[in-house]
Amino acid sequence: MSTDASQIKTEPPGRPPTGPPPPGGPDELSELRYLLLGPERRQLAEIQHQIEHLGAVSVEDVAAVLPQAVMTSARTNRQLHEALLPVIEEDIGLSAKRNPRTLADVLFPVMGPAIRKAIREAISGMIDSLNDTLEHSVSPRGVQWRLEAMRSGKSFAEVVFLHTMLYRVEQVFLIHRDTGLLLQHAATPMAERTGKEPDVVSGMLTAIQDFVRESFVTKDAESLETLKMGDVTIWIERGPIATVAGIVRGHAPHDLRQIFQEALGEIHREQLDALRSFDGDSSEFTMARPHLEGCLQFQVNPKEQAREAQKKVSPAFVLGAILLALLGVWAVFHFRAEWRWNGYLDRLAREPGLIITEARSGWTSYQVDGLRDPLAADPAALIKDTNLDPDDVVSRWRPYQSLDSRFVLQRAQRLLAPPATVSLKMTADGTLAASGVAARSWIDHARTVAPALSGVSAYDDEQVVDAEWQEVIKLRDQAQTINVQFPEGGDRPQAAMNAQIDALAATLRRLVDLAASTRRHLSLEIIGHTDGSGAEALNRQLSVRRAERLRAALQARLPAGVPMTVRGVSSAEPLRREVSPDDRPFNRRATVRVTVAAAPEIASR
Amino acid sequence: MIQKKICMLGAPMVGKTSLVERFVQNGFSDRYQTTMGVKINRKEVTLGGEDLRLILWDIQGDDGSLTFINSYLRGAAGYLLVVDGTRRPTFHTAREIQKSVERVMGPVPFVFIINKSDLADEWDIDDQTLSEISGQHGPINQTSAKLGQGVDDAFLSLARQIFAKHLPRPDSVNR
Repeated sequence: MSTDASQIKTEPPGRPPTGPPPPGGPDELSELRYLLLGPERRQLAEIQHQIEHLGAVSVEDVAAVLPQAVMTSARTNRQLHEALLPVIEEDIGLSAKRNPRTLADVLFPVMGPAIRKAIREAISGMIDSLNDTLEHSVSPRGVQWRLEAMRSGKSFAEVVFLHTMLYRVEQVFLIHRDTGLLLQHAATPMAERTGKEPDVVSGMLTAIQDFVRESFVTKDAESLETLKMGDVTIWIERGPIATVAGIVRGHAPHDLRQIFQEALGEIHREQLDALRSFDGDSSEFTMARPHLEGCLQFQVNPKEQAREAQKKVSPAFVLGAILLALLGVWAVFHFRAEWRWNGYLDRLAREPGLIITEARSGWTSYQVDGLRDPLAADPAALIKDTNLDPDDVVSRWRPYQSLDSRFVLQRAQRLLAPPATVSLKMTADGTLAASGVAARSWIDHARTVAPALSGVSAYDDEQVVDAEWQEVIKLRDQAQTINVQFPEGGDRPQAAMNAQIDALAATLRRLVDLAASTRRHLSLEIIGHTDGSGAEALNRQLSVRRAERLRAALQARLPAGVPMTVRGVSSAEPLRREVSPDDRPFNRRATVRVTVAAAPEIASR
Repeated sequence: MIQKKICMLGAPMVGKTSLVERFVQNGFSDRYQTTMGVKINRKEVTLGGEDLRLILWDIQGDDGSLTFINSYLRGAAGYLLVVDGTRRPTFHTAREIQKSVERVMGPVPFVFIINKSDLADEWDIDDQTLSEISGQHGPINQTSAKLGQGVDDAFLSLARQIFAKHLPRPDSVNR
């Protein structure tokens, strides 16, 4: 077009010929051409002007309408897509061939998360299969974890992970890949205190990677990912421009790498331009620090936490705790000993015959002073019941006599020495009461001694029976039951009655002896009886004669001096009621009535 | 703070580690210890009123194989090329290294150092060679790591080239 324009440059563009040529033109032919072709030339100049003008505007106009045109075209048909597709494909291929890194840098923020998601899903699948495997494990630990999983609602695999994956990320470095210079650094407070200079470490980590890559790895994409020494692991995640390196103590879960990768991806996405233009000024990367701090993950076993807590206890606290524990132990022992001691004192106080006058407890020993009745329990023996050490107790007991009724009774028993047939007891008012059978001599002795006993206000022996007196009564009753039979109307005993008279006499002799030994007075009344037949006057006389006859027989058999009186009662006191004549012989008899009186009574008379 | 990676290059036993030790810690040890791989130190300097941090990569002495050097050089802002004044072959090694680095990295600021100036009597490099080097690479820094002579100047000279864009104010080494 410009070529055409240059050929027709008789008239300057933009100034079409509108009037006649200047007069006086030398060239007539030109004038003639003007006259003949004037209108056509004007039209031609206009067309030329339009074409030139059209060429100048079209670039701007096309630029203005092109986006709209492309959008309209894309909406209405696919011709434009098809037209551009081979060109774009070829351009991308060309770009990848010329400088793959540019494309990689662009794609990294997009591809990174997608790849990580795929890996995460793969790990999740692996955990599920691990879960299946563990489902069948029956070790005690497995069972324990299973119970924990049921309790907490977590999956079994999660619980296993919680128990096995205990770690701490101590430091995270953001390193510029090419220079090895440190861009940013985050560390736990402890690592910050104890760690080496991070920029030196950053350089060394880069050097180590260089060394390994140079020495062992052949493919460009491969790089050193893990360094491990003891329980410290260094994880290195490489991005297109920067690297993240984490110092991990313990066993970190694989998920942690994803956190590193995500942080690295975020940093590249947010600060790609700054990374690309990095020239030694790391101050621009302070905004990457939160991402690095997010990598400072840790997970500890509660047991480890408890141990940690124990470690953190201050010496003063430990000392205080020990002192407190010692105080507690001392208090326990002290109060136990005090309790035992008080128990012992109570026991002593309850014990009759023991009176505590003073009691003291010291740090290691005890002392008790008091009064003790010789009959009271042994205080030393009582210690054994209280678990106190007898060696720790110093006792000083002085003797005294207790008026406790039990001791009074004991002393009475010992001093009176009653026979087995006599029992003693103390009444509430202090009276010593005796009961049972005793010899006269003991009764008299007790009457003398008992009232003098300390603690005895009175002596009562009403219930004590005189043993000899009992014998007297027995013999008296025995003698009084013997009947000496007489024949009808006669006053001589039948021959057969001699044995009866002898027996009567023997009984009376024993009575006489007994009365003498107990200083009692004995007297006999001989009574004569008749049957109811015959005259009363005769019967009375006969009864008197019969009594006299028996008195004579007894006097012959008994020692002299036994007072005997006679009395005839005829039939007034029959032995048997005379219903028939056969009853009469029983009433023809003589009997003896014995009177025994205490000597003092006689004396008093 | 601006930081830059700087490499120490040269044949074995020319004194690279001693120079770094003198520059960083102001110390020196007569005992020779071979550097295996790389040793990294850092040093802060004030240049033109600006605080700067130099990360010094003390690279294992190389007598020509140059296997690892290229890898370690990556991203370096400059380097110090060290020669042992008492051993002429180290000068040739240095030139080989310099050419190799130039091939890989293109023109990068560097400083030529002839170390062990305290042993000047035993020097094995004549004045002609010195002027030849000077003609090719600019002023030569003669240093003694043992006595501490010229060491700071050599490092600062390199730093000045690297940080040329910074303000021209009095320089100082932060001790």
